[in-house]
Formats: sequence, structure tokens, C-alpha cells
Amino acid sequence: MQSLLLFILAFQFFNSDPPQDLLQKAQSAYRQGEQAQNIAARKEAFNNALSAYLELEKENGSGRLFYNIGNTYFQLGEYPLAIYYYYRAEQLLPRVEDVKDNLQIAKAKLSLPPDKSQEVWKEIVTLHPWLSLPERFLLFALFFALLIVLLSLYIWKPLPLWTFLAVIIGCVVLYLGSGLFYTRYIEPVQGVLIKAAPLFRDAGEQYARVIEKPLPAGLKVEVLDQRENGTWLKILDPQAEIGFLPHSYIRLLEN
Amino acid sequence: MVKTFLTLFLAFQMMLIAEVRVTSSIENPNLGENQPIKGMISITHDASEKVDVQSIKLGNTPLKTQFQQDTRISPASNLIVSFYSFYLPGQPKGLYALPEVSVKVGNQTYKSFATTYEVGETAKEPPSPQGPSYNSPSLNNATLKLEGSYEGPSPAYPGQLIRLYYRYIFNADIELTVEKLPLLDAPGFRKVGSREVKDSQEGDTSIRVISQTVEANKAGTFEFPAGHIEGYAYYTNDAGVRQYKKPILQADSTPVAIVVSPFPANGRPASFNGAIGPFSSFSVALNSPSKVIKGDKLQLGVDITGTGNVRTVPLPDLCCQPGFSGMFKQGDLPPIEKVTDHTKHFDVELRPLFEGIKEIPSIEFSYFDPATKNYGVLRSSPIPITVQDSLVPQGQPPEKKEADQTWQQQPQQPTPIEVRGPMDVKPGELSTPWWDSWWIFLIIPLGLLVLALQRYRKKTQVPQQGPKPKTSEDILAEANAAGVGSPLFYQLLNKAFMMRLKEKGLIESTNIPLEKLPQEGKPGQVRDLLQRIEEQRYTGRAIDATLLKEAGVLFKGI
Repeated sequence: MQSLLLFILAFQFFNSDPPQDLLQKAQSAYRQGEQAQNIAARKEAFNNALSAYLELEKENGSGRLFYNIGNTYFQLGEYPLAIYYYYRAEQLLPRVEDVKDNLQIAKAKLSLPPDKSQEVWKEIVTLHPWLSLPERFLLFALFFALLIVLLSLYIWKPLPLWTFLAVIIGCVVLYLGSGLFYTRYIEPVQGVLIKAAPLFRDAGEQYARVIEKPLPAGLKVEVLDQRENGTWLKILDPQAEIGFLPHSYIRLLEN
Repeated sequence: MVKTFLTLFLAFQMMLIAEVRVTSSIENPNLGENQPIKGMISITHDASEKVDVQSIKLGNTPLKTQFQQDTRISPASNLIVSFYSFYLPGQPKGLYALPEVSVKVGNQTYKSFATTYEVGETAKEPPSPQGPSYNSPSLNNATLKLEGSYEGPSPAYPGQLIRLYYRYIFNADIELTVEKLPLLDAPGFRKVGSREVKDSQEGDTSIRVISQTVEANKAGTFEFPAGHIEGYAYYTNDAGVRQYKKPILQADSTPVAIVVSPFPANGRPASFNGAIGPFSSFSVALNSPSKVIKGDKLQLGVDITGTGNVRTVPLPDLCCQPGFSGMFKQGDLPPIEKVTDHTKHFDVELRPLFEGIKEIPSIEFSYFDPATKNYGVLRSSPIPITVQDSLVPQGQPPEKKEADQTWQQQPQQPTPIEVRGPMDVKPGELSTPWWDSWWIFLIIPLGLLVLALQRYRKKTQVPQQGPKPKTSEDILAEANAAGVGSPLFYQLLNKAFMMRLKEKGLIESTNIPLEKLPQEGKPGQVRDLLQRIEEQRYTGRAIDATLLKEAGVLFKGI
């Protein structure tokens, strides 16, 4: 009897699916927010959705989850954070128009200028506008596997055809691998300002400002370095101004 | 070709697997002679991997370090930077090499690069907690005390400044080996400026005060554990070498609790947004022409003067002030701020949205006075302006818009949803499989292993196979090559037919005598043909060409 009870308890433990429950909770709260008839009810529902989504984010992220978090922040009027999550969603869903559209709407709310288009060579190397990082991993793995097959054929039957195909596929693998290497080790980390931030000449508030006006919240910047045990970041803004700001003003967009 | 690819991918793989980064440096670039040298090690690593502190070595020597803090690179990242401090003994003037620092993270050992540092002449400012020098060998009465406290209002309110400090009290030269000063890190507060150090002397006792000014951010009770310092008293002998006195001196401060009270709800004005007073004057001036076209920019100068915390006082929220909502639009960028003595100045952009607006209404500024625990309210005077619509023909009076004369209430009906709806997220998406991460590069060594195994197998298999067995076609070709008249021809022809029958599965072995072949089917035809050829051969006549032709047809027909 006791072992039966233990079995039932263990079954229930392993059978429970917290992410599924949280997801349902978040999505139903979001729908409630959309259909709310007054501001208080809407805020409450979107806040419920947000806390559930953020709980899920602790497990792991996905492009769709980031997009939904961005939407929820948008509905709560937190446009800089919405922009940050839309950018994260865009990294994982580069071809989804909804993400791009919502990002533009959120940026328009803060009167932010459109992003500067990346240099063409960077786009060609990283394939950012077309492929997400996981997709690039998969593509790399597929071509590498194909290369191994061709090289195996060459080992057993050294026909010129295998040589020719292996050279072509090898070039593709090298190209994809170089792009991944660039992303991992060379490409600068980017970040989004989550509140308007003054830009200082060095790591400390006692230093002069690089520009009088603070950088607007929601702006995407490049992070060049960190100082003072990571509490200050050296950044490059879209106007090519370099300066320092506290880490607490920025959320990093990591690959 | 295979070797080339092997080399390229091995090199590529080596570059990609480097995850942990270790750096070491000397903190103070202006080192003085014979003063302890403080260094810092930073280790960037995955949060799931543990740093083995015992494994830290400077060159080949174990290094005693003290953990400082972990900093996560970003909330979403697994990477953290762990900081450890260490001390090296003082050295004479000169240029020195700081050997590489090695540390075990997870199951692997990582190394920093070796660097150099320079020890110059004795620094003007001695290291803590040395105040005046005590060049006396009598260290028996050496004492060390630590006091930790704060100066500022109690209870404090959000936005008020508090000075946190530690006081070192000592009567001998002391080289500190441990300094834990949690109060100066001030979690929960915003630091204002950097740490300050002041030395003073009272009789035989030296006092060093290290302080940090902070601003209370939020209400609550903030408790800080006791600070702790320890170090050795020493004197410098005539040869300039430090002589340390044991045992180690230790001192602890008492824990400190700081209470930050929330602003009282009673009597809080609607315009209150966190300003801490008292303030004596609040004025608004128009610094641009007063006659504008709707949508044009008006430049306002707002001055707030008082003895309160002028530096942190925020601009009143113009959006919700009576007469502003719907009539004016404030610039999207935060206003430019300037602090001089007891006055804070804001430059604010404002754009009238309708023609016919006659004035910039009075702006209300409210603050909280912690001394009286009451709120105070100041108001600016209205500023007359003229707003025109450039498209309105001359002579037609523009329609006048009435501004709200009460505090703006939040609209009860929510605005329409502007962004596209949420996407369906499936639970499976929330876990990243290994092939969607950098682990995918494990496929490279795996693939190379597969190739290497195949090469090895091919190399070892080829010698075992030996020469390729001859087919019936080969034997027939050999027979033809031998010539019809030669004895070898008949022997090989016989063998070619028997081999052919075996290849086609009609007989089990080629060693069956001709007369034992079955009499039916193809074997029977072969038996008959070969017997006729044998008969003709033993008659001494040349083989009939038709017989040879028949043999060829039969061979192909089997």
C-alpha cells in the first residue's frame, strides 16, 4: 500500500509540467489584458502575464517568448524594455515581420531614429538579417556532416567527383565556421539603454559628460569594454560618441 | 586533401572551445618601495563551473587570495566574472614581472598572461591604514580598532544623502592583510562620488577615516554586517627592511542598520514626485519668443532653489499638471540639468499643440521637508504666450481651446491595442537543445574521428585482401592469348567454362571432372562441347572454326 502511494506521488511529481502551466497562465493573462474594459484591469492582467513570462525566461529563452515579453512590456508602457526584448526576439526570429513591426512601433513611441543598417560585409559574414544563431549552428552541422560523408567516399573510392564536391562543401563549411567565430570572438556585444543615461568621459559620475543631453532610453549601443569590476561600461552610440555609463542603465544583447 | 581539412578544423575547434578567461593585474599603478602590493585576479567563467580557490598559483607558487565579488555580465547570461584580490610583499624600486596566474575552473586549469609592474620611489600616500610612521621596534602595545557607522538623517527618506564610514584607530605601522568593509559597498543605495580617505593624529593614536556618500533609493531597513580588518604591526629597520610583529592584529566593527522611511501618504500633494526639501523658491521663465506657431518649440528655464538635496531634485511632472494635458507636448529627451550652489536649473522643451493657447499655466512644485515631516508646495506664475496656426487666414480668429483646470485624471477606457498579438510558445521551445548551442562544435572532433577511423581501416584492410581472383572472362582472355594451337589453350578453355558455370551457380566447384558434369541444361551443353573439342584435338586435326564459334556462343549464353 505504502509503495503504491509512493509510486502515485512520484508519478504526479514527474508528470507535472510547470512550464506548460505557466505558459497557459501567461497567455490567458495576456488575452485578458487585451480584452480588459478599463485601465486598472488591463494593467493587472498584463502584470500577471509579465510575471509568468519572466518566470519562464529564467528556465530559458526562445524568440517567441522574448517577443511576448516585449509585447507585455509595451502594453504596460515600458517601451525601453519592450525594445530590448524585441531586439532579443529579432536575434532568434530574424525573418518574422511581426517582430520587426512591433519593434518599429515601440521605437516610434520613444521617437528613436531607425537603426543604422549594418555594413554589407558584416551581414554577409554573420548572416544576421536572414538566419538566427541556432539556425547557423544547424546549417554548419549539416554541411559539416555532408563534408564528412564526401571525404569518407573519397577515402574508399578516390573519384574526382568527390574531390570536387568536397572542396565546394568545405568552402561553405569554412565560411559558416568563420561567421560563427566572428560572432563569438570579434563581433562587439550590443546593449539597449533601459533608461535615459548620461554619457561620461570616464568611469565615474565625477567626470565630465561627453554630450550634455543624456542618451535616450531604448537606444541600441555597442559595448566596447567594462570598468570598475563591471559596474561601468564603455559604449559607442549610433552617433559615434564613445563614453562611459553605469551598467545598471543598460541590458546586454548577447548571442 | 583530407590532411588539410583535418588541420584546418582542428585549429578552428581549438579556438572555439576557449570559454574561461583569466586576467591578473596590479591595482595601484603608483607603487611605492617596500609597500605591500595589492593585485586583482578576474576570472570570467560559466556560473555552473566552480573556481577552485586552492588551485590558484602565481607562476608555480600557490597564491593566497581573497574572494571579492561575483559580477554577472548580464541578467540573461550564464557568464560571471569572479574577482579575487591578493597581496605580494613590498619590493625595492624597479621593474618586475608578474608571472602568469593559473587557476582550476571546473576540471580544467586556465592561465592568465604574464605582465609587468613597476615599483617607483616611496609613494606620497602610504597604504592603509598607515598614517604617521612609527619607526620604533617597540610594538608590544600595538593596537588596532575599527568603527563603522554613518552620518545623516535617521530615519532617512528616499533621495537623502547619507555618509557611510569606517574609522581605523591604530598606534603603530600596520600592514593590512584582510579588509572586509561591507558598509562601503552599500547595496541598496546609490553611490555618490568615490570613496574618501582622511588621516589625522590624536596624541599617539592615528585615525584613518574611509567614507562613502550614498543616496537612499528606496524605503526599507538596510542591515550591514560587521566590518573586519586584520594585519601585522611592523617597523622598518635601518636596512629598510620591514620587521613584522606576531600575532596578527584583528579588529571588528559593530553591525550597522540604516532605516529609510517611505514618504507619508497623509497630505501628499498630487504633484509630489520625490523632491526632498526644504526649498525656498520655484520659478519658471520663458527663454524663447512668446509668439509661436502651434507645434513650435518653447524653451522653458525652471529654477528650484533651497537647502534640500538640490542635486537629486527632479523636474515636476508637467504631463499631469492642470492645464498641460492635451495642450502641450513635452520634448522626448530628458531635460538638461545644471546645479549651481543651492539652485538646480532645468531646460525644458514644450510644444503647444493648438492655436489659441494664451498662457503657460502655473506649474506646481511640491517637496517633502524631513525636518518638519510635512509637504511644502510652491507655484510658478503663468506665462502669457501667443500660439497661431500658420494656415489660418488673417482676420479669422482661431478657435479657442479650453485647458483642463483640474488635475488630469487617467482615462478610464483603455486605448486600442497597437502592437501585433502574442505568439504561441510551446514548452519544448524553452529548453535549448545542445545542437542549438556552441556544443554543436563537438561534431568537428567527432567527424574527424570518423575520418581517421576509416583511413585506418582502409590501410589495414588492403594488404589482407591479396590479388583479385580471376573471373571466367579473364581466363577466357588468357586462353585466347595463348593461341588455339597451344596445349595451354585447351586447359584454360576448360577452366574458363567450369569457372563460368560456378559463377552462375550451376555447379558448386570448378574441380568437378568433365564426365561428372550433369548431362542436362547448360552444364550438359558445356560437357558435350568440351568433349567434342577434346575428341577433335586428339585426332590431330586443327580445331574446327565452327566449333570455336559455338564455344563462344555457349560461353556468352551461360
